[in-house]
Amino acid sequence: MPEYNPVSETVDPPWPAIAADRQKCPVAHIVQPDEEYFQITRYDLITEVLRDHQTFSNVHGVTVAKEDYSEEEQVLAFADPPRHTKQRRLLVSAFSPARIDATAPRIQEVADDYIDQLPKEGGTFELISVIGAALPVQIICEMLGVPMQDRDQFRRWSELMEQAASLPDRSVIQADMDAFNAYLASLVNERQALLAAGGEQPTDLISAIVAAEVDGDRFTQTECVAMIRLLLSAGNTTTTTLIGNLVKAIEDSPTEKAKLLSDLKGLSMNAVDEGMRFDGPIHGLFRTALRDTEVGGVQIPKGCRVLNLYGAGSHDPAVFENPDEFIVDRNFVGLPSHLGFGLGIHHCLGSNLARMEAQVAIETLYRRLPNLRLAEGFVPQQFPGAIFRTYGFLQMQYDGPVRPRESN
Amino acid sequence: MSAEGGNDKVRIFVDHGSCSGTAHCQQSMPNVFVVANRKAQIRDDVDWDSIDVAQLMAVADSCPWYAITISS
Repeated sequence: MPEYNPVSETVDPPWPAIAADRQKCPVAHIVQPDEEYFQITRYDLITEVLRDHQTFSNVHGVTVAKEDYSEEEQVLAFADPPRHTKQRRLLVSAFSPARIDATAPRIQEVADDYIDQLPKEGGTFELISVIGAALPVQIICEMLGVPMQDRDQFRRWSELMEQAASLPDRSVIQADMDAFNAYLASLVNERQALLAAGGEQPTDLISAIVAAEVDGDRFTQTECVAMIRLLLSAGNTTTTTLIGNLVKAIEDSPTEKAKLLSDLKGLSMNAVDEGMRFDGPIHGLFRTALRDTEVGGVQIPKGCRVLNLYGAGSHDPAVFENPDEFIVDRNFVGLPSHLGFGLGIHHCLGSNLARMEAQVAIETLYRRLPNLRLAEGFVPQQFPGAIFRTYGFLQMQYDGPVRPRESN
Repeated sequence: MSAEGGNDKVRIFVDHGSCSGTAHCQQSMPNVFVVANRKAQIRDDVDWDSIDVAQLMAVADSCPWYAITISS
């Protein structure tokens, strides 16, 4: 039996147990009361699965709950080609590096707005709620075109979806999910009515999804809702977790923190990538074998799921030197990609946005808040989910006076 | 290195406005692609006569950013 079990809760860092499994059983057969699956911990084998989207499908659920989505609900990360290709092609330009670069000043403005709300004379604040969650939700809501007054409720629904990813039985949150879907349907209906009326259309992403024609067809309301729901959840809590996990990693290593602060602008993006590699928001995702196959010499029967532990792949010493160390200036040149954003056709669509938001957040926090640090006596606790490993709270402390915006 | 390359039988173009440096292409065909500064580039030393065009097409199809165009 493998030492690492992602569904048994433990707050300890998983890397030693994962390293042991990578040595002994890189494709481990896990037998749970309700499902058997194979857990992969070696980089080369994980990437082999992620590249082979003809054999390994996304439509039977990529999170803990095994689900069979209706065709209309098979969107993006829950879809296979050719449906996936049509949907992703529609959205890819909205999340391209060029488009995200153009959004950077707005992201900076929002980050500065949140910092401006902190006491000027110094004090403590909870990082996840003040900026970690608030920044991504505001930006994705602006991109989608979600009304301002609904954004707090959106964030709550989004957090619920994150929790749902680690739940084997989602019936406990079904009422909330139904309410969320109904709300999204109302937004889609509004845009469809505007489209039908003709004239000038809003420029937001929901309008683009509603108006998009692929091979002469428009997406149905159910498809639109499923896509928006996924963009929303993928655009919020994952980035929140990225920012929280990254700040925790920085604070855990005084040497790396000093290095980062000595060249904040020069190293911040590399630090974000290292944060994704070291403790990325998504610890692993499932695929389902569409035929009998084998991975690493282990037979995988048709219909069986495999759990690709992205975190394990990103800590594989065969690829990354000193993998269990957080190194802000790690040289990624010439290295294969870390798996923090996945790999292959399902590589995170929002990765450019997430990177940019995390970079701006880190730069702004450490530039404007003197002597930023974990609050004295505060002991962070990471939620040890099978899919997400995230800090719910990070109490921070800083000295005054808060430094002005860079443009001031 | 450049965003374009090829010979009289096959041409490759990488759209750097879309390319996000995911390195799927580099990992699939390191003899053709290399990622530098978060952008896929065509290597200077590609042996074009030995390139498997079908594999190249598959790599382009699998690019998560649809940034690679192949013409032949």
